[in-house]
Amino acid sequence: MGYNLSKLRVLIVDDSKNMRMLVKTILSALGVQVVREAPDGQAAINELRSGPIDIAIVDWVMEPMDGLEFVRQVRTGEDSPSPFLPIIMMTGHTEKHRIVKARDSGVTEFLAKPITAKTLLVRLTNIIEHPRPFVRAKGYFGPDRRRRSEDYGGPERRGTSKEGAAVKDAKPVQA
Amino acid sequence: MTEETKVQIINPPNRLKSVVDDGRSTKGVDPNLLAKAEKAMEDMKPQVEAHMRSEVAKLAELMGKVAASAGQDRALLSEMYRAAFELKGQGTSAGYGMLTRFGDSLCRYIEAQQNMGAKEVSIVKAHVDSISAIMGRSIKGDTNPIGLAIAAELEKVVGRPM
Repeated sequence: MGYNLSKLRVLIVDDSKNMRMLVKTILSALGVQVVREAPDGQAAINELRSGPIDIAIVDWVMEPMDGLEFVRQVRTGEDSPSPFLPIIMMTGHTEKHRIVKARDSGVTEFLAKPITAKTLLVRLTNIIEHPRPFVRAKGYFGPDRRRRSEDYGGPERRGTSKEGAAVKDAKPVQA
Repeated sequence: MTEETKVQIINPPNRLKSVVDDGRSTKGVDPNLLAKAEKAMEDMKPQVEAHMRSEVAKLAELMGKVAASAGQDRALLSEMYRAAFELKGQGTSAGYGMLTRFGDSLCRYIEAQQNMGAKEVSIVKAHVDSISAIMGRSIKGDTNPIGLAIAAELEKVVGRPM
């Protein structure tokens, strides 16, 4: 039976009208009733200010404000209406250095183009079931860039680096 | 702990869960919901295909201008990149997997070229001609043998598997 997505409010940000329509079609079929749209980052910020949004699905390449700048404004803008907003970056840029750049701007999830109904639903489900804690550090504010500990199979470094030690010692707080 | 190393972990309340959990919800992806969304996407293919056709036509028109400028007009190449990126991003959604593949290759090639000469322009043209042929002959999917052979040849030139 899954989740009832009818009350979810989603903002789609893409300069391609066709792409917005494609995503909106999938969301509507999934039962989402409130889907708002914006053609670029600035318009999206205005949309966020005009009413509450639960999840934003954002393209990277747009003008005048691109997806990365939008994410930065949402996360760290002085008058950001929702710094904890889950943001799915939808992009054809799948090179590693670009993914790292987007991750460092505070993106919650990635959705590689071409998108499918399945990849979109999986990302939405992941955001609902596995919300990530946020980290505020010098030069970064956004979702924890490391996945949940049970998903991590690599060596534990947080106790050894300067920053890692701080994270290890940090006491979680409720927003 | 100094300001430089101070890190705060914040656990925002999970409002989403309360929005989507109506008391009868179960975890994970609902296969029925997914099937419905896939059907909606399938129904939209003709519309996406029409958009792809217009992007392919734009690309062919730009090719003429790029050739006329001998590849020296960066603005034209940027426009071409945007059209190819659109094909890469939506070709498969229209049922044309080869458009995604060739679009990706063309984007990578344009992006990697600092200076364009006759040889580089001819490689761009090979991409555009292939893309036009795929659309012109309505070659759907990503397994057409001729398309695969051309992709393999371009792969050698671009220097990276597509």
